[in-house]
Amino acid sequence: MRKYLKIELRRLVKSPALYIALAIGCVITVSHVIQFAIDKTKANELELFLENAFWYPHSVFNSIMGLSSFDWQTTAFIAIAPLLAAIPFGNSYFIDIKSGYIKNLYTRAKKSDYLKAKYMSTFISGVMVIGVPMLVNLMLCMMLVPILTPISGSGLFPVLDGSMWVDLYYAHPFIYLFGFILINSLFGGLYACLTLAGSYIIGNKFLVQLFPYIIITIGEMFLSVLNLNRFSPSILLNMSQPTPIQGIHLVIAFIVLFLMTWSYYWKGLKSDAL
Amino acid sequence: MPYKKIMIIILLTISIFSIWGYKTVQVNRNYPKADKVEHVLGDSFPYQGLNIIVDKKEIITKSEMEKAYPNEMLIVGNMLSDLGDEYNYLLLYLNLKNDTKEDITHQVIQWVVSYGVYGNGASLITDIINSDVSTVEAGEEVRYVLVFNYPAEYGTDLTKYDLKVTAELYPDYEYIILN
Repeated sequence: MRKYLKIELRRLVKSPALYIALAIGCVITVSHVIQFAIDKTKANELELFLENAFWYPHSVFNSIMGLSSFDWQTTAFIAIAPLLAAIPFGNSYFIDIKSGYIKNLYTRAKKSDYLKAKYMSTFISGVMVIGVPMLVNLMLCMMLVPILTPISGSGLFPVLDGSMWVDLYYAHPFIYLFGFILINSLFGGLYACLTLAGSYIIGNKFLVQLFPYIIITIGEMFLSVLNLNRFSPSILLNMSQPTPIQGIHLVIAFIVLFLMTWSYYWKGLKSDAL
Repeated sequence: MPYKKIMIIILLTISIFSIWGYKTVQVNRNYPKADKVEHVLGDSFPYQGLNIIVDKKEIITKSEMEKAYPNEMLIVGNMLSDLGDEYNYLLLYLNLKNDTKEDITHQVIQWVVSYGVYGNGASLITDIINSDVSTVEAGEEVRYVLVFNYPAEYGTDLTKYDLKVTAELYPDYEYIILN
């Protein structure tokens, strides 16, 4: 499997689509820095804390995308994440099947090795496309606003009592932050892998890339109708937790998505590509 | 990959991270972490030129509040008239002494209470209200009662909560632990 994984990762790194997706993600996260973090730097420079005992400087933990209130970038990034994640490697499995490339591979090695390697490389592509722009946003914010521990009662920090990991946010905010970046990235990986499952259903390479977006949008509509919003990715992936979530919501959503994506593997093993 | 290309990538990466590290250190040097200054009931400490003695705390229901402060409706007028019986009150008694020769305007009126060491207290304590006087004349000692209201469903025994009243956020994070 290692050999295939190497090949697939090399294809991924050489794919211009990866860099296009990263660029789109970074445009959103950098625009957030320009629009919000720079304003917070200017507010900090006024040094109002010298006159007012209840002024607390803006911190990284209320300035990064996802934790600064009322920014369109968080909503946009979460909404287009299924699309972004599918850009780099979303239709590669579909193309491998249609071009006959998969037949060459299957004659030389085990089917399961190729399928696992394809799943892993696609997952990694999704993780990168979601994780890297978020890390860029964090790094740029760290250059502009200080790393000050959130203080409850200051009115600046968005994570409310009853939210998941609230104690972590106020005690060890970096762990909270990296935890959410990791969750977002893992969901990005699963979004990307949804395209693999979609390759069996859809007969067009562009529609295959749209498949995760369609599935997530329809899924969110159903969850909303069933009053199960807390399982919806747009709620789960929001760091500020405007609707407080619990770990169980995350775990269930992750397992459901994983099973949906892994169905590709079972189907792939059974299908006769040759 | 040619050697030259690898070197360019390494140099670029080092440069980017150096600039990032320099800027990050610089911004954090300008805004150092707030030092925690803790007080407990009975403590006396200097605050904005005044000497503050934290006398005691009291937790009472709305009817007890009305009996205890029948003439203080103006102080809490907007709260008591607007809110029903579903609120209890946390009172913090302070003595403010101005030992200087000048009048001092202070911000005790803005003190906030929160619960939980880290949790946001907004859902328990909804507001702070206090006398509208915010200046202590030279040589004068004034008694202040800080009044915080919170939903009655939390009861009057708040010992399980890490209640604290914040006096200042930055550059020192100064607060009084109530439990």
